[in-house]
Amino acid sequence: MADDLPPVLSRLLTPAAPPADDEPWAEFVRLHSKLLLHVCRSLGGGHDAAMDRYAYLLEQLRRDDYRRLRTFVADGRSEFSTWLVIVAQRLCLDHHRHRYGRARSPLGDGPAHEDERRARRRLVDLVSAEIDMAALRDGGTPSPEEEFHSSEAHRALESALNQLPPRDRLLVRLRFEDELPMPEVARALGLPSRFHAYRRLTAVLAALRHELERAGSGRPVQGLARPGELSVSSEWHERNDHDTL
Amino acid sequence: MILSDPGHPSAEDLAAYLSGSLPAPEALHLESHLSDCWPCRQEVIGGRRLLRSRPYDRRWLLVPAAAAAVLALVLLRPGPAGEPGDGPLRAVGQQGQESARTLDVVSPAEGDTADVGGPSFIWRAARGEPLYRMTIADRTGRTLWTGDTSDTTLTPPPSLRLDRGSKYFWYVDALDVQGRSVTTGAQSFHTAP
Repeated sequence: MADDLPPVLSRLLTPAAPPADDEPWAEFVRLHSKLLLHVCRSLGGGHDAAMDRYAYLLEQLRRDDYRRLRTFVADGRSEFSTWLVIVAQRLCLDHHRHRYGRARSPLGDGPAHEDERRARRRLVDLVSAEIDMAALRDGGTPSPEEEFHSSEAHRALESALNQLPPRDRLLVRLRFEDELPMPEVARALGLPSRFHAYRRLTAVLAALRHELERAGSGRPVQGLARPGELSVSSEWHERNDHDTL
Repeated sequence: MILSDPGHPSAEDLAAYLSGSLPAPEALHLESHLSDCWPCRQEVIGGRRLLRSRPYDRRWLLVPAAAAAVLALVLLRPGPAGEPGDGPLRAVGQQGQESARTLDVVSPAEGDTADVGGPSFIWRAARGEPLYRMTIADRTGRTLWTGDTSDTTLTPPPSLRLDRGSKYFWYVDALDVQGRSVTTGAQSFHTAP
């Protein structure tokens, strides 16, 4: 397997290298320091914080005779640098937790820190806002019957969201819960362009609308594109027109 | 610690997912996890951002470098440079650049005369809806202006002042999300006297 490793890593991990010989490690650091520093800086906090992370990162990578580096499997599924970015991110997160505990994360405070039920409700609320659930009512103060219908529609939406295929559910979460711009949603899902992401999201929301209507609102829901329409809401395009893929 | 947390994807799996090489059933399983696991989702989002902006990512550098090299060949070659029919587009192909001919120029064609008041540059779309980067250089090869677009046409801003009766070069590089790049190679045009 060592033959498949990147040469620098192979030299570093080969037992033939005398333990006192720091040259392979120096070579490894020389080759990857830019990437590792890039990861450290990406988490913010200024120069000192980045250098703290960098020092921790190097210490952890070198620890126990390069234990973490030895876990890299050169099976051709990814480049070593891609794997290293993931590991470096995780180590930076560990560093943050060691220093500040689990309450705060350099990645931000997300739904994972909230009650799972509240997180789901939030997603439903966000999607509801996008598809204009108020359109289910005729305007003015909702009557008890209208409130009941609205509540039923929310429940139906939550149920429909939970039943989406994993990839579509991920798309909805990236867009509404993580509030990523569409080019970034496309990248996160490995789609060729934001237009592919738009098309898929349009289809998903059309399916949700269908599910809502089927669940008994019996009324068209504004803000949801019919199947075949390119866009769901002009607001999305306005929000993302400045984005480039 | 997340690195060894059971129930979360391994670094290898996430790296394979980011590389697009995770088999479909495993990718489906991973996406199911990501849709319900905010920290892992942030890892993927962060990983994509970092890989896209990594410092020794030379994807963008290689194509302009190739185009610049071609430009240098055109400029240094004895005799009239950049005549129609012996264009650098072919030279790029001969040097083995990936699919150089797949990015075709529409206007201005090689050697055309263009208006100094801001000619529009048009090329044919490459596969994969890539991001295009267009560069205009003077006859010494010095870059005068660079612009990015996802469209297949670009008009330089009025602030770019081109001299009348002069020769300029332009080229477009396309980069898709898979990191594949194609180029028109350097094209020349003249400004009206």
